[in-house]
Amino acid sequence: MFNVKRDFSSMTIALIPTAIALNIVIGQIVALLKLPVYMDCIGTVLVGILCGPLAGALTGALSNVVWGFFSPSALPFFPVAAWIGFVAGCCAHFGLMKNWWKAILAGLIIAVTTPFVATPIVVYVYGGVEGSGASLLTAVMIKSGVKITSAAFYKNLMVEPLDKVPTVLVAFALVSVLSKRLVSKFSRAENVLSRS
Amino acid sequence: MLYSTGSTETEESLLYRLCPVTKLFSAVVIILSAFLLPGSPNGGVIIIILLLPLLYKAGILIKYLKTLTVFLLSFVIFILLIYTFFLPVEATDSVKLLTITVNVEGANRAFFIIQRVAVLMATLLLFSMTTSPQRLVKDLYSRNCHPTICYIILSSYGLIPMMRDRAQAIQQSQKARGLEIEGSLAQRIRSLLPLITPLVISVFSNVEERAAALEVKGFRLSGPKSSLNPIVEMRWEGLLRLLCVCISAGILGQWLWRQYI
Repeated sequence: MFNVKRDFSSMTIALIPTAIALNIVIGQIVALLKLPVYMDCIGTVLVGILCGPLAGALTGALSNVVWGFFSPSALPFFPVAAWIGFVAGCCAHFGLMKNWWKAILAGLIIAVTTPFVATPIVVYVYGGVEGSGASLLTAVMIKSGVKITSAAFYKNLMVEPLDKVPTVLVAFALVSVLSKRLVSKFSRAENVLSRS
Repeated sequence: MLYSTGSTETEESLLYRLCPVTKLFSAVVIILSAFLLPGSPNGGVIIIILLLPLLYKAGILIKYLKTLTVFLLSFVIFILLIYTFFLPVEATDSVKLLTITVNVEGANRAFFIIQRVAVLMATLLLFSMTTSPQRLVKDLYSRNCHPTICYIILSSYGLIPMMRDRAQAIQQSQKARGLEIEGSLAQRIRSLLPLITPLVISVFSNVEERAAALEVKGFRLSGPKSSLNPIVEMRWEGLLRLLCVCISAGILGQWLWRQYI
């Protein structure tokens, strides 16, 4: 599953900056459309699918470093973004990007595993409240007697599927419209192309 | 982007002239001191306050404070509300204001967290406002940071404005074709793919060219490379970095000591 030399080809190194810029620009398009999601890791998921888990993780981490120059609050969450790219790459490796319902499953896997990485950061750095609108959920749970750590975890668990499943579905749709000739040049083309 | 230079005075100020890596080391020390030293994170707050005159001299103090407020405001409101009014309270440490019970211990805890997060954000903001990505990458590169990382960071900054323009153009042409980007939620969801698919296809077609350019320029070759405009560093900066490493090690050491021994 991990092959650094094969995965970090010139195509991958050229794709990663594009994916980082895509993360940021698509995030802004989604905000412009006022959709109730972030979708700011489509590029990361694309790299995970096309170039493997390690390239996905690097894209995620560097994406937050680059975004940190626009909004410093993104920086502490770089392990979360790296994890998303890594899991997307692993899911693709095990054939979960071959059709749309498997892509939904991949989105769910990412959404369920992400809180394990995000919650320690939110709790340790931000005291369990990161200040987005979804913090209202945390507030309601804390009021009903749930501990802060658990409340932050459950909040992530509730919010993440709403964001990650559409993200992976859109990434899947985008990969399917790319030409096979182009896709075949990436190191993990077999993740999306059927062997025919 | 947060980085901006208003005038030549700004560019000549100390905060801008320091080597990016020196600034990075100092930022790590300030953040570590706020999070890992015992007691309240007052030290970090004091360091930030002491740095404010330098920002004033560089002419970016107002912009800095405004941006910091924007980043912190919603967090401060949420954490104060949740820790003061929502946490379950013991009878001993609560105060009743009319009909609302205020959790005093919770409020103290919230102030503690706010101070730490404020130091974190203030430090990161100070770094990103006074450091150009180009200079950072050049400095990292001259200190043997992996060229792939440097290329990725620098290249992303070049691509973002270009891609934004393209997204704008796509948005306008799709609108001209009758795409509704306002209206009901279902309508807006439907217009997402028509906006991003052309963007992704067009930028992916460039990836191949860029990969070819990397190959042609011998990017993946090993061996020493020279720079056209090297970063000049002040004589005492090496010493400052060494000091930063020592202080960081000290802070980490005492934290580990308190945790495990």
